[in-house]
Amino acid sequence: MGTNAGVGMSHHRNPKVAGREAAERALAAAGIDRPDFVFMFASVGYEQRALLDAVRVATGGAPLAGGSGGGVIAGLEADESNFSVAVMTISSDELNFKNAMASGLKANSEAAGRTIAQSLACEVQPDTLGLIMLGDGLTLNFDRFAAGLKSELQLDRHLPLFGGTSADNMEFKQTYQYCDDQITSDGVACVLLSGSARLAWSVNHGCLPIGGERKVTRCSGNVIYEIDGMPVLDVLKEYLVGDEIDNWSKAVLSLCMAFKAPEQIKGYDDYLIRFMPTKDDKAGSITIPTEVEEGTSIWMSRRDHEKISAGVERIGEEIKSTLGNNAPKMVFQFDCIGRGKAVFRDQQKSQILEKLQQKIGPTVPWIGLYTYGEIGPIGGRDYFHNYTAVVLAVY
Amino acid sequence: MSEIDRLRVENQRLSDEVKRLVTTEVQLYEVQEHLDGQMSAYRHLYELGKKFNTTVDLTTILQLAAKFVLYELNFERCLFLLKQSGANSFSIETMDGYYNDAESTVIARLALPTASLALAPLYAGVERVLCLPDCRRSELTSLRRLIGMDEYVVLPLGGEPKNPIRLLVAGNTAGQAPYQRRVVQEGEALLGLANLASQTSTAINNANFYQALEWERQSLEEKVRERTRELSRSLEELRAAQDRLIQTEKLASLGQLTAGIAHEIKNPLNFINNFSALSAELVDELGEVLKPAPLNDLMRQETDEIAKLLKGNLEKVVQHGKRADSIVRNMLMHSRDGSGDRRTVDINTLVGESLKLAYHGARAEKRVIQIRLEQDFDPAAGEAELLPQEITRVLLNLISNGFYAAMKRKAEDDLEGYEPALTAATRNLGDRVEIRIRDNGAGIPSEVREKMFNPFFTTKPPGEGTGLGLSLSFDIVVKQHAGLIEVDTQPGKFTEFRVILPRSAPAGKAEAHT
Ligand SMILES: Nc1ncnc2c1ncn2[C@@H]1O[C@H](COP(=O)(O)OP(=O)(O)OP(=O)(O)O)[C@@H](O)[C@H]1O
Ligand SMILES: [Mg+2]
Repeated sequence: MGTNAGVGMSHHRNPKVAGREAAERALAAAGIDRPDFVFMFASVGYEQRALLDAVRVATGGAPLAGGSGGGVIAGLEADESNFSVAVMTISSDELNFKNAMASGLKANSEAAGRTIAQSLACEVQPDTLGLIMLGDGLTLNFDRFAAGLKSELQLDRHLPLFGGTSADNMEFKQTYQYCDDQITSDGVACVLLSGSARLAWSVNHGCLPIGGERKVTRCSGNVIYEIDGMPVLDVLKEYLVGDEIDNWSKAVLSLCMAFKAPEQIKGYDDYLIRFMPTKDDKAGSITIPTEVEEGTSIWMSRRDHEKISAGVERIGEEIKSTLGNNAPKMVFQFDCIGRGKAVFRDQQKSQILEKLQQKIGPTVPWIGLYTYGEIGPIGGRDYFHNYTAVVLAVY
Repeated sequence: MSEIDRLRVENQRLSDEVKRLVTTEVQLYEVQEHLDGQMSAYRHLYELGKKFNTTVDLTTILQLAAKFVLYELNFERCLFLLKQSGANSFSIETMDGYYNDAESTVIARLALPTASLALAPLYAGVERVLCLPDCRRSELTSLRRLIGMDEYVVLPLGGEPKNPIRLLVAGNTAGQAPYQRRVVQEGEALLGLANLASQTSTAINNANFYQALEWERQSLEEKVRERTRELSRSLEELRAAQDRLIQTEKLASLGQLTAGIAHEIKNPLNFINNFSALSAELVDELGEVLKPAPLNDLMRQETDEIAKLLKGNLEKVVQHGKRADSIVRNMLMHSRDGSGDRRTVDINTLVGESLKLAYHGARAEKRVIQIRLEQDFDPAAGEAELLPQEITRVLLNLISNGFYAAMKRKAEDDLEGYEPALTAATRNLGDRVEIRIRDNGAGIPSEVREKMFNPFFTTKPPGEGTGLGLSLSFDIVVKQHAGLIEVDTQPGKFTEFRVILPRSAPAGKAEAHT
C-alpha cells in the first residue's frame, strides 16, 4: 500500500470547527479514514485545548505531534494570521512515527534532551531516518538539548535532527507544543521517523551583513552583554531608528547576528545566523538560542529579499537533485517567521512558495510552520539556524 | 594618513551609509505594509458590497457583515442588535464569535434597554461609543459582561439620526485581544467599521425596499389571479345560464303545446272516464235485469260470462282512463305557472317532511323498501319564501328517483355489502339555500343525463314512469323560483341532485308566465 498522506487547513475562527475542518480536509486529501500519525501546526489566536481536541476527535485519536507558529503552510497556502491550523494525516505501512514530549527547556534543555532520548531509545532501529522536533522558541537552548539527546542515545551514527522552534504572534509570550492529548509550553515535541524511505533536505538563509566585523567582548552561555567593549543594547541602537529598540519583536525581525560558519560547512554559507529572542533591559543583555564565547566575531545582519528568493531556489534545486526521479511522500517546511510577511508581500510570498513546490513536486502533501528558529543538519552535523528555511522531503 | 587608515575611515562611512539605508528601508516597508493593509481592507469591503448585491435576505446580509467584522476587520466578536418597533430594548439579531455554548445562550437572550446610559451619546448624535480596556465609566463597563466583550465599540445603524433602530457592536475579550484587532480610540479599524456600518445599512434598506416591492408585486399578482378566477366563474355561470335559458325556452314551448293538447284531451277523457264508470255499473244493472229471464243454463252461463268480461274491460278502461287523467293533469302543471301561495317556510322542516312523505309513499306503493336514510341539515339553512307544495313535489320526485335508482342497483348487481342509501342535505349559501338529494345508486350515464329533463323521457319500463318528474321539477325550480337544479353523478357510485333556491321570491316572476 505504501504511504497515503494529505494536508488540510482551516481559518475558521471557532477552534472546534477549525480543528475538525482542517483534519477532515487532510483525511479527504489523503483518501483515508484512520491515520497512523498526525502532524498539527497552528497559530496562537486559537484556544489551543479546544483546537487540539477537535483535531484528535476528527483523526480518531491517532498519535499526534506538532507546535504553534507565527503562521502555517498547507500546500500552496501560507497563512500568517492568528487563526490558521494545518493538519497532515498519514497512513503508511512503510514509515513509522514515534512521538515523545519533554518540558522544562528553560531550566535545563540538556535534561529535556535526555528525557526525549529515554522515551525513544527503544524505538531507534537500523532503519531510523531522523528526528523531527518542535521546541519552545522562547526557551530552547539547542546546543544543550542536542548534547543531552545524543549523550543519552549513544548512537554510533549521526541521527539527523530537523524541525523548528514553536512561535507565537511575535509577542514572545507563550508558544505551544503538542503531543497526543498534551499541550505544553517551554517544552519540546519530537517524532522519531523510521522506515524504508530516504530523506532529502536543504537549509538556506537570506541574510547579509551590514558593515564590518565586530567582537563579542562579554558573554555567558547564550547571553551577550558587550560587543566591542560597549553595552550590547547601545550597539544595537546604531542599527535601529529612534525608539525602535523598545519594540523588540519588530527590531529582531529586521536585525540579527551573523556568526562565521564553521570550517566544515564552508560550502553552505559564510555565515550562520542567530536571532535575539529576548533582551533584558535591567541586565543590559540579549539572548541568542545557542552558546557563544568571548572573542567570537559577529556581523550585524539584515534579511535580503534577493538572497532569500535565490536561496529558496537553491533549496529546490538541492532537494530535486537528491530526489532524482523519485516523488516525495511528504514534505515539511520550517521557515523563519522573519521570512514571511515581515519581508514579503502576500503575492511575492506565494510566488516563491509555488516555485519551490513546482520544483520538488506540485502535488506532494506539504505542511509548514513559521518558526522562531530552524533546525537542520549541514555537512553531517546538526545546526540551529535563524532567518532560515529548512525543507525536508521524505521519499 | 596611511592607506589602511584611509580605507578604514572609508569603510566606516560606507557602513554608516548602509545602516542609514537599512533603517529607511524598514520604514518604507512599514508604509508599504500599511498601504497594502488599507488596499486590502477596501478591496474586501468592495467585495462585501458585491455580495450584498446578490441577496435581499436580511439574515444573510447581517451574517455576511458579522463575518466581515471577524474575518476581515479581525475583531473577535460581533453583534447586531435590533429595536423592534414599539419595544424599549435592543435585542440580538445576529451574533458571531461566541464559541462557548453556555455563554452564547446567555448573550443571545440579551435585551439592552434603549434607555441604557451607555447608548446616550448615540442619541446625542455621537458617531460611536467606545469602551477601551482601561475604561472606568460604569455605564460602559457594566455592558462588558452583558455582551461578552472587554473592549468594544458600538455604532448606530439605520433609523433616524439620533434614533437608531440597529446597533453594530464589535470587540474582544481581554484574553483574545492580543490576537485580534484592538479596539482603539481612532484609526483604520474604526474607519473600517464605520464603512461597514454604512454599507450594511444601505444593503438592509435595499433589502427592505425590495421586500416591500415584492409584497406589492405578490399582492398584485394575487389580485390578478382572483380576478381571473372570478371571471372564469362568471363565464361558467353565464354558460350555464344560457344552457338553462335554451332548455327553458324549449320546455316552455313544449309545455304550452302539451298543455294545449292536454286541455283538448281532457274533455274527451272525462267522457271516457265517466261513461266507462257508468257503463260498468250498467253491466251490473243488466245482470239484475236478466236474472228473472227464462234462459236455459247454457245461455245463462254464457251471458254471465260475457257480462263479466264486459265488466272487466270496462274496469280496465276506468283504470287506464284515470291514469291518462293523471298524465294530463301533470301535463297541465307545466302551464300552471306560479299558482298557489308563496309562503316563508323553514327549509330543513320542508326537506325533512318531504323525505318522510316519500318514504311512506314508496312503502305504500311498492313492497317494503330497505334503504338507509340520512339527514345532513345545516342548522343555518334558515327559511325561504317559496311555493311549498311545488317544492315538495320537486323533492318527492327527486327522492323517489333516488329510491328507485338505489333499489334498482341492489336488485341488479346484488353486491356483497351494498346497502342502498339516500341522503338529504341542506346548506346555507347566504341569500340562497341549497338542498341536495344524494343516492348511492348506479348513477346516470351521460346519454341519459342529456335528455332526462325532457318531458316524457324515462328509462323506466312502460307504464311505470311518466318521464315528467324532472321536467316538472325543472319548471318549478327554475321558472317559478328562479333557482337552479344541477346534477352531479358518477356511474357506479352516486347521483346527487342539487337544488338552489333564492331566499326571497324574484320580483314579478310569479306572474310572468300566466
Ligand atoms: N337518481 C337517479 N338515478 C338514476 N337515474 C335517474 C335518477 N333520477 C332520474 N333518473 C333518470 O332520469 C329519467 C327521468 O326521470 P323523471 O323523474 O323525469 O322520470 P321518471 O322517474 O322516469 O318517471 P316518473 O317520475 O314519472 O316516475 C329516469 O327515468 C332515470 O333514467
Ligand atoms: Mg321520477
